[in-house]
Amino acid sequence: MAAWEQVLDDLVQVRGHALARYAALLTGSRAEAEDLLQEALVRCFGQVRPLRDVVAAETYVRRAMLNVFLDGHRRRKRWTGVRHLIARPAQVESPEAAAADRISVESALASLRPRLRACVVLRFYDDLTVPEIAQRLGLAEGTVKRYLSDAVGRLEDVLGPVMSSSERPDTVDIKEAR
Amino acid sequence: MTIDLSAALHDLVDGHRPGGPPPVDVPRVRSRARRRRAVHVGAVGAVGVGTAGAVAIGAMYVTGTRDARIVLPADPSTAPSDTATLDSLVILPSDPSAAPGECGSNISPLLGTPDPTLGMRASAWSDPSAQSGERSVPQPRPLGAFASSTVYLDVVSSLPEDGAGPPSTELSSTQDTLAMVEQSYSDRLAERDAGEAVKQSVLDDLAGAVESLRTSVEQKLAAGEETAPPTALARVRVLVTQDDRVVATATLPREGQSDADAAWDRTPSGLLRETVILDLVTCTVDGVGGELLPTGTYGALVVRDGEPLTGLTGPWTIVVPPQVAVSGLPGDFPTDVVPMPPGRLLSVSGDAATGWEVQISVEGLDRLNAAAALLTDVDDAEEEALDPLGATVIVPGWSVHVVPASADGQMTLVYRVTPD
Repeated sequence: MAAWEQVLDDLVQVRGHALARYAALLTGSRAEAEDLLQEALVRCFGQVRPLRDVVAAETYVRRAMLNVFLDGHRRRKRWTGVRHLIARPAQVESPEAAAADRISVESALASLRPRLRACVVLRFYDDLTVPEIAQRLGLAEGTVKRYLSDAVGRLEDVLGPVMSSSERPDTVDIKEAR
Repeated sequence: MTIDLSAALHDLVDGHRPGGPPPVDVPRVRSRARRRRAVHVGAVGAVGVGTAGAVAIGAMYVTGTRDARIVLPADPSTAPSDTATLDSLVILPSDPSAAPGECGSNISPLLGTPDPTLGMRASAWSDPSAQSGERSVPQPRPLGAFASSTVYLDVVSSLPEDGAGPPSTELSSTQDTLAMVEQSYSDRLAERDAGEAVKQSVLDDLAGAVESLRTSVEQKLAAGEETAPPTALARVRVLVTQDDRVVATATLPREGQSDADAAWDRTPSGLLRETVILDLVTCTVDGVGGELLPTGTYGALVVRDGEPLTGLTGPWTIVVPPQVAVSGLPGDFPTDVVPMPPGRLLSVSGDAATGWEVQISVEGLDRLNAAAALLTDVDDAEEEALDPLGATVIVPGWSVHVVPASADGQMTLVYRVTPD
């Protein structure tokens, strides 16, 4: 088995489900997420330059998923068709709070426009700075700040107050975003 | 209750124990990646043998961009006296006596009730922004403009029986890849023997790939792995028309393509898809043909092979953009080793000492692949990276990074050319 095939196997075995869930954050649909992940894997492992490191490969695959996702949504704006279905859930205080958070955050994210959703994922999952997000998405920094502000506002409309435990310098924190 | 967004997202992605079946069909991903790698390996440096459907490997890169082998007319904005165009040299096929659906025939009498179970869309090979997650058969619509002379189309079927039979196995997909690479190696050797310029590095790469794949096949056979049994697959025809005349055609699966390789992808939505490689060259009537399609808008229609042509579905439209060479670059810009696809210069800055940044408008969803193919065709060029975000190619004396972008509603390419 070639080295890149071993990396592919290891990546899917160890991080495949996490990558699929990351894709689902972007797509809002688990079925579409699997398509997105498959396409990104083919593109990343189908290039001449070999991927020999699982950690680097995961980063690369996530970047490819983001790019394919954003380009596709420049033309398709299906979020508008489901946004009205998202209702603010009742706040829960229970031992299952984390699971409830997971479900409600996933639903709330799905209500955002694709670019806003991408900004949120890059900022609050990938922990990128505003300049880094701007560079990744090909946007002005001011635009990214506005997107993040809009996104946090919409998430709070659905989820109630949100905060982030991973603030970094030169990022937009939750308060600033509001 | 306040939700910690970072923690919630990390919990969503990483807060699960690994388990259950993998979220993707790993053998299928590996098979597709192998074929894609084989295309890269087999095609680098090969120019001029892109016979439609003859060899799957390298079809995109062998034929390259539409200007890879020809001298383009200059940009009329900078050379207004030059009114000659390539298009005036091309005669589109027309043959009133041709059988329906054949090259040059008129299809207007055939158009009946479209088949709702069959559709097409641009493949991610040709349109990097293409999404594969559609839930229904794509309806006829404009597919866009393409800068390359080869377009990859995904045919989508809602009939499960089109892809009947077992999926390909690890062994069968490796055997398919081996067959493609062997064919490409054989072709390159024949070209060299015929006196054509073929890089030794290309031959070495192919020989290495053949050796590696043969070893892999032998190991799998020794381990008792079985190849996929023969299976019945639907074959489709794609007709490219202008003014209802058939001017180009393609068939899926291609001649010589094995069933294992041709097995349709099953998508999570339940639809099937397979890729058609469509060369935008004229089909042949009485020995005349094989020319690049001239600038214009064409219709693409699809039908299952063997079914009545009244079931032709389409047209999806494909635009062949104007073929005008980029002009206006500084005199000391290394145009000999940094070829560009047809387009118009938007901006250029820099100098030979520090490097250049160039932006050109290029009409074509596949402009990045077209640009990368031209660069890798340069003698002694080495491709460093090619992904949807951009390409980096080392050409003699220079490192070239090219990314697709847009400006003022135009599709563009941005080149960063730095001394190597």
